[in-house]
Order: sequence, then C-alpha cells, then structure tokens
Amino acid sequence: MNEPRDLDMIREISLLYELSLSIGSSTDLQENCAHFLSTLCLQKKLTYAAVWLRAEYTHPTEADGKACRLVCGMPERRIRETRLPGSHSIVQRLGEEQMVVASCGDEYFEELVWEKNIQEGTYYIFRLENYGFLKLYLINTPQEAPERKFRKMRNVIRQFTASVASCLSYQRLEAEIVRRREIESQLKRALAAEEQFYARISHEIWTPLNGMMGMLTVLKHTALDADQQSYVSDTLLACNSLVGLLNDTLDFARINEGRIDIERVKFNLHETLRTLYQNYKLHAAEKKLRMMCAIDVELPPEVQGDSLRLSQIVGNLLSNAVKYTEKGEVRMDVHCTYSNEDRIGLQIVVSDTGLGIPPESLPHIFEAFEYSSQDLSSKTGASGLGLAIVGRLVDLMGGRIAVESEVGTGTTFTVDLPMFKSHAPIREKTDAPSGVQRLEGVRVLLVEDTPMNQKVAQRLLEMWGAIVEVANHGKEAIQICQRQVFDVILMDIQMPLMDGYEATRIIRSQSGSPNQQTPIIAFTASVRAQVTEVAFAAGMNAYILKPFNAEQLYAVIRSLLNIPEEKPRVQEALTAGGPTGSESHTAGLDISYLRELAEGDDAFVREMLAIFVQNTPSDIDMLARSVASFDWPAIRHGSHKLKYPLASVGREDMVDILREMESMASESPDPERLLLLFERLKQETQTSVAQAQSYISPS
Amino acid sequence: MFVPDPSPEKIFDAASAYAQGRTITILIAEEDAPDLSQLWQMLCDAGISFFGGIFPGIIVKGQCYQRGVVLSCWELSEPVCVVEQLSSGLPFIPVWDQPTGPTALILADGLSSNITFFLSRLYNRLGTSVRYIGAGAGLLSMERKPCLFCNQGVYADAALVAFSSRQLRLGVRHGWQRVSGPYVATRTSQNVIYELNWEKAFDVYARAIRQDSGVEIQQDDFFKDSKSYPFGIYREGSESIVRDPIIAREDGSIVCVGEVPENTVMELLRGDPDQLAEAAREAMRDCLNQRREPLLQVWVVACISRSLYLEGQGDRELRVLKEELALHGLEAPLMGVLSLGEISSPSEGWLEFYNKTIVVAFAYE
Repeated sequence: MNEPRDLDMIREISLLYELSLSIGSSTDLQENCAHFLSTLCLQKKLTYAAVWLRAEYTHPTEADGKACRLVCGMPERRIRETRLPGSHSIVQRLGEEQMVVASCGDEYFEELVWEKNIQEGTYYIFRLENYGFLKLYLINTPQEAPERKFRKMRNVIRQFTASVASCLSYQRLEAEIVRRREIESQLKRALAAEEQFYARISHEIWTPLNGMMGMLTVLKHTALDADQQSYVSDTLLACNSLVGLLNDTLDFARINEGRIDIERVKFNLHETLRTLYQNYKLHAAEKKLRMMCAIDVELPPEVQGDSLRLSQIVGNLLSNAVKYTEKGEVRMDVHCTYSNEDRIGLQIVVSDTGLGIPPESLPHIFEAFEYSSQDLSSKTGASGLGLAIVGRLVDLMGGRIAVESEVGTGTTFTVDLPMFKSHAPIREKTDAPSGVQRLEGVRVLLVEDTPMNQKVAQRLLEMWGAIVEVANHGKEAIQICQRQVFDVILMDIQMPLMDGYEATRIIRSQSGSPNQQTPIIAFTASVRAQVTEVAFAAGMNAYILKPFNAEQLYAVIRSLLNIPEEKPRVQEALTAGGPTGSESHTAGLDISYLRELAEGDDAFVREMLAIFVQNTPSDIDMLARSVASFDWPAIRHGSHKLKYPLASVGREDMVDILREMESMASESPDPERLLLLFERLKQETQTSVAQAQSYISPS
Repeated sequence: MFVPDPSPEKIFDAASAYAQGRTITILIAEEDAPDLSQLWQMLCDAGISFFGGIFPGIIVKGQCYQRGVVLSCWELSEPVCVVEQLSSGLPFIPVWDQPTGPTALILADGLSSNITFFLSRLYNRLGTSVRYIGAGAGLLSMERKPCLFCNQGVYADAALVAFSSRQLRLGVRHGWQRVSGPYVATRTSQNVIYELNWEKAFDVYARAIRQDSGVEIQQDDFFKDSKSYPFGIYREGSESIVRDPIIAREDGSIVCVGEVPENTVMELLRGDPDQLAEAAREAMRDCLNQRREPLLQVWVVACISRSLYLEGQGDRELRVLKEELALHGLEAPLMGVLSLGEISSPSEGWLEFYNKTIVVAFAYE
C-alpha cells in the first residue's frame, strides 16, 4: 500500500543527492553557480534561476555595499537587471526572512520582476545567509506548498551557501596572490634595471677615467714645476679614489646579478694574510697608527678556497679600520676555530680603536648605501658599498660575519669562513668526462654555422663546466644577445645571413644591451693581419685560429675572464673499442686532432666523423655548382666553409687548396687554376669521406 | 513534396521546381541516400537556398519511408546557422539579439557526443523566446559520416539552427513506463554510463531486466533486448527523459544515445505497444488543445527505435495520429522524420534531447 509514497520519497532523496553533488564542482564562482543552477533548472523544470550576491563580495569598490549583483542567471536570455540597490525592499526583507514567495497578483510580485518577459508565474527567493540570495522562477503555478519546498531545499541551499563562501574566499586569495606576484615582479624588474644601470654607468665612466689616469701618469713624468707636480698628484689621487668607488659599484652589481662564482683552489693562506697586513700597515703608518697581526699557528699554511674573495673581504675590513681610526691601533687576529678531516674553520677578527658605529646603525651596516653617519661618508668619500660587498661575499662563501662597536671606543668585525684543507679532494662534476671545471657557470654564446666546429667547441666548453647557448649565424646571435646575458661570446667570422663582424658591430652599438661589454672572441681560419684588424675594429676582443685545440681555446677565454691559470687536463689514454692511436692516421684521414679533442671518448670521434660524412659531400656539391658558374663570392664562402671540417680530419693539404681558392676568389680570379684545384679537392675529399664512413661503420 | 528516387539528379530536379526562391528543407531517408557532396554542388550551382539531412526514415503524408526524400518549406527568416564540433564540448554558438522567427528548427548529428550540452547552451542564449523542434540526423548503422548539409557546406558532428516565421504548438510524449529504480548514475562520461548505484552499469541493468522478465541480456547482442528497456532520467512532475542504451562494453559500461550527467537519478523503463501508441495520441492531443486556425502542417519527429521496438507495427503510431486528426476534422499533411534522438522544449520547459520519444508539432502562419 505504501509503495508509491516510498518510491516518491526515494525519488526525492535521489534528486536531492544529485542536486547536492552539483554543488562545489569548481572553485570558480561562476562555474560553481552555473553547474548548480543548470541541474536545478532541469530537475525542477524552472523557467529561470539566478544567484545574486552582495556587492561587497563581488565588487569591493562599490560604494553601496548592501547592493546586490547578479552572479549567474539561467537562461541568459531572461536577464534584464544585474544590479539591485541596497535600498530595494527584497534586500531589506531578506535581512529578516529566510524565504520570500510571490505569485503573479501578489502585492509585491511586480517589485521582484527584474527579468525580461515576466507577466505570470511565481518567484521563490531563498536567502544565502549574508552573502545574497537565490532567485527561482516558475511560469506555472507550483503544486507543492512553498513551505515544504523550502524545507526540502533547506540543506541543499545551506550547502550551496557554504560553497559560495568558499568560492569568494578562493577568489580573494587568488586576487591577493596575483597582486603579490605583480608587486614581486615589479620589484624584480626595478632591481634588475637598477643593477644594469649601475653596471652600465660604471663601465661608461671607467673607459674615460682610464684614459685620464694614463695621461696624468705620463704628464707626471714630464718636466713640471713643484706646483704642477702637486696638482697632478692630487688629481691622480682623486682618480684613484674614484676607481675604488667604481670597483665597489661594479662588484656589487656583479654579486647581485649572480655573476660572481666562488672558486676552490689551493693557495697559501699565511702568505695571503701577511700580504694584506703589509699593504695596510703602510697606510696605517701614514696615519701614525699601530698595526698588529697575529696568525694562529694551528692554521695550515696551504688551504683550498677563494683567495681573491678572501683578500677582498679582509682588505675591505682593514681599509675601513685604517680609514675610520684617527689614533690608537688596528689589529688583525686570525684563528683556527675547528679542524676536521677535510676542513678548517678560519676566523679573522679585525678590530680598531676608531670612531665606532652608533647602535642604531649597526643592524643596517651590511646593507648597500648605509653609512654609520652622514658626516663620516662625506669625510671619507666612502661609497657605502664596501661592507655590503663584504657581507654578500661572506654569505656566498658559506661564512658568517659579526660586528661589535662602541662609539668613541672602536669596532670589531669577526668573520668566520670555512676552508678546505689542502689535501681535501676537489669536487668534480660527475657528468664531465675529464678536465678541470674552470669555466663552471660561465655563460658562453657560441655563434658558428659549421656543424663540426660548433660541436667541437660546444663539447669542450661544456666539459669545462660552461653553459653554452648556440646560434647558427649573426642574426640569431643578436636576437639571443638581446634577452640573455653572457660572460663571453665566441663568434665565427664567415657565416650566412650575417657575418661575425656585422653581428659584433651591432652587439657593441646597442646601448642597453646586456652584452654590449661582453668579451667577443673571433673564430677565424685566416691569420691575415687585415682579418684581425677588422675583427678588433668591429669590437672583438681576441681571436682563435681554426682549427683550434683545447688549450688555445681555454687560454683565450681564461685571459679575457681573468681566470687564474690552470690548464684543463687532457687525458692521454684512449678508450677501448675504437682503433688505437697508431691506427688514427691513414692516407686520406688523420683523426688524431679529433682524438685529442675527444680525450678518449671514441663515441665523440665517431659523432664528429658522422657529421663530416653527412655534410661534406653536399658542401662539395654546392661548391661544384659555384665553380661551374664561376660565382666568386660563393666560391670564397664555400671554400671557407670546408676548411675546418677538412682540417679536423687532418687534410692540411686540402686546406691549402681551399685557402688558395678562397684567396683567388677574393683577389685574383683564375678560372683555369680553379678548375684544376677543385678537381683535386673533390677527389681527395671523396677519399676522406669514404674512409671516415668506414671508420664509423667498419665492414 | 515527396521524391521517391533519391538520386542527386531527381532531388535536384524536384528542388529546382519546388524552391521558387524560397529556402527549402531536404530530408533524405538513409536507404540509397545520394552522395551529399555531389547534391550540394548541384544545388549551390543552381543558386538554390537549402538545408537538410539524412535520417533513418522519413514520414510523408502519414507514411514511413526508408527510401526517398521529402522537400518542404519552413519560411526561414534568416540564413541557416551552422554550429560545428559539437563533440568538442565547446562549440561556438552565436549570440542573437533577437531571433527573427518564433520557431527554431534544429538538425543535429545524432551521433555527436555533446548534444545535450549544446542544447543547454543554445537554450541559455535563446530561452523561451522561441519554440524548438529538431531531430538527430545520421544512419541507423551508427556509421559516422556527414549527414547534414546547407548552402555553407556538408557536415558531420555539427548542428544546423534555422529560424522560421511559422508558429508551432508542440506535444512531446514517450509512453515508456517505469519498471524499477531509481538508480543513481554514479559514474558517467558524456553518453557512457560506467556505474549505477556504485556498481558496474551492465550488472545492475542486466539484473533489473532479469528480475522483470527473466531475460538474460547478453553483451554481444545487447540491442536485441535493450531496445525494450531504456533508461529514464527522472524529472520531477513530468515524464522522464528517455535514454536509449545501445551498446554494452567489455568494461561493464553502457553507451547511450544522448548524455547522462553524473549523479543523475534514473529509472529503468519498459515499453508496451499500446502505451506507446497512446503516448503518440497524447502528444497529438497536447497540440490539439492549443490549436488555432488555419493549421498548415503537422510535423512528426519520431525516434527510429520506437519503430524498431514496435517491429511490424511501425506505422501504428502514425495511424493513431491520423485517426486523431480525422476525429477533429483536420486534414493537414503529416510529415517528418524517423530520427536518432528528438529535440524539443514543450511549454516553458528547458530544451531537451530525447530518445525513444515522439514529438508532434502543429505549424501555423
């Protein structure tokens, strides 16, 4: 008897289940409302349904916070009003009631008509706590009593309200995250711009300053009277002070740009510290200050670490101590705080009896452009960057720095730095087959169109720890240079689309380009003075002759980047599998150069030969077409392009032919001779390609 | 106008004579259906304005045909709108400031997988400003190929929306009766039901059929029995929306014609020839109750699976409709299609995609 009633109940519960699961389908307010409303509309055969929320949640800038805004209405076609003022009667009524029902003909039905084409039917408006309300419209008169409808919907509406609240919170959170990210990125942009500005300005001042100092030094050694000598000396002193300030600024910019790497090399600690002490002892003596130094005997003379940065830190502290002390003494005490199997704790204490730092300045002493007092900076000419640099270098070296000071009594800086003992093994990157990681982190742009040359240079650079970006011609290099900073650029001279000279000129002329001052090394197969002159005139800093060897490449980069001399290790042993050294030379092929570069990696040799086999025949074909039509510029380019691959496989005889062809194409065309040379080149190259092929895949 | 020979040439000749500057509707029965590209080219070259589709069958003067073509004119008020890539779930639907006619005629590829979603978006745009009638086009073999065409091109996985100046009165009924349920479709994806009441859909479905009739439904010959047991999506206070289960997959899921949203409340339905015929009569009566004069045409969109279920009595529903018309002294021509899914929005309700349903529409000036 009860089955139909039970069935109705099961159906109702199932519908409520379906409805409740349509809630919270998304953290997006719109999507969440749309999913719920569409399920509700289909299930209840509603003519229209909408969610309205208080403007304070959806439009925080709206003056009337009690006003309501339409968030979602279905179907859209019915939507007319999207904003309801806070003074509207329904907003007031929902402050007190949970639900408002109005059918056509009721007193306030007309007040609720904010949709298009409504002349009849019934509105149900449910309050969504203090967030807003849910408005439902049925064109047909409902059979069910509104009270029961509300009771049925009560829990679902409560759940929907909670989901709306979650969406609003999520929305606010997202907006806050976006806002913070924007601020962060603005800040980063501003910082980057500031750093770039300092770097550029410093460089631009450096060049004329160097010129001035050179000229002043020359002038000082000419016949001048006593006054003139004094003027020149004062001017040189001022220039030196300016140079110190510039160096600080440049160092600071480099540290902030992450362009300073901490080295780990063996050096004599005692000697380094003593040299520093001796240097500043002279300055101290000029001011009649006593200067003392005590080095703990427990400290080993030789350690591993970055002597350059250590000198910079200690030098800066000693310099300040001497600078800010008018009478009394400056001390440097060096201790060993711990010693284990591999490491020691180095502690350097620099103390003075100088002016001291006011307590309020102490917390900011390692911040950039901070002085202990305005007067002091103007008196001493300090840049305000010295201690900031010291602080950051100590951080980079994994150490700590502390300061104690009393105005009128003096200041003590204590620096703790970890150092490796001299016998500790030097950590090497496991993915490097061999070689010292002396270019670790150096950013190199390799601009080269010849695949073999490209591959060889890239391999060597990466083996030494450099980060290599490759461009195939000058135009590509310019594009890359506009968005990435490099420490050094290796630039081939002859390339398609744009040659190395042109690319260098453009890079050098782009003010504001991050690589305007980056050293550029020319790759050239020509030793003619004209070529090197043009290269330097274009703004290149050095050149490397092709085919180059590892040591040459390393030496040029090292000298430009001021890297302490240490030759990359070259393995002599060859790996098993490939032919031995004695087999590396046959009549048409000599792979000893490739083997030297490969440092025993036969796979690399094979890879290089595969490139040779793949590219050389098509390059010869192209050159053949140029020769057939006596297209001299193309002959010059084609000859040049083949020089490196053939030199790499030991065909110096062919390189000579190519040089002659190139020279002929540039200076004195001789068609008959050209044909003879090319015929020989073609035959010999075919032999080399065949031999390279048989090396890669022996029959 | 009925064209018994569906060759492109015959259709073209008939269309040329019939069009007379108007946009014509070309509804083609699937048997021997012409190459649509060829027909499209011929009609375009002749400057004829047209749209239409291929359906499992057509209805002409109260008779079903599996071969042939029916031409008609819906007095379109603006060019046909093409909505492509229905299955993508993100079809582009234009915004109409004001529909230019009171009726929206929709022909959709019945094998597209997001028709319900498309209709819901279309309804969101147009609301109750128009009355809707439409049909799912395609082949009964379920082979997916272009089945819709208009002057813009030939399409699959698309819908054509046309606005007509004709007024419609609609009746939508199916007559399938509840056997068991409700079941909650606890895991679905578009038109595939994976789980009913947290169990494999096929297991629940097979068990319900076994309990009702003792029949053991088989996965490999699924449609033989499933055509008698469709699902109904429960709607409060009105007839449920039928979903036709057509394929049982090895993973225990069931593929339906038309989407089944997750967590939908469903029931198992069963047919009875008398009740199906009675439902057709009720749909006709719904139209008669709202009728005006003069009645120009009676349109019928009947699901092909009703016809398959009724087997030898396929024309029974149409006979009932004709009887009912005659009873009221009406002689309007009865035309339409046997479809893969029916589209309509009775009274002020939402636009729905139906299965196993009959839609009757009275067309007026």
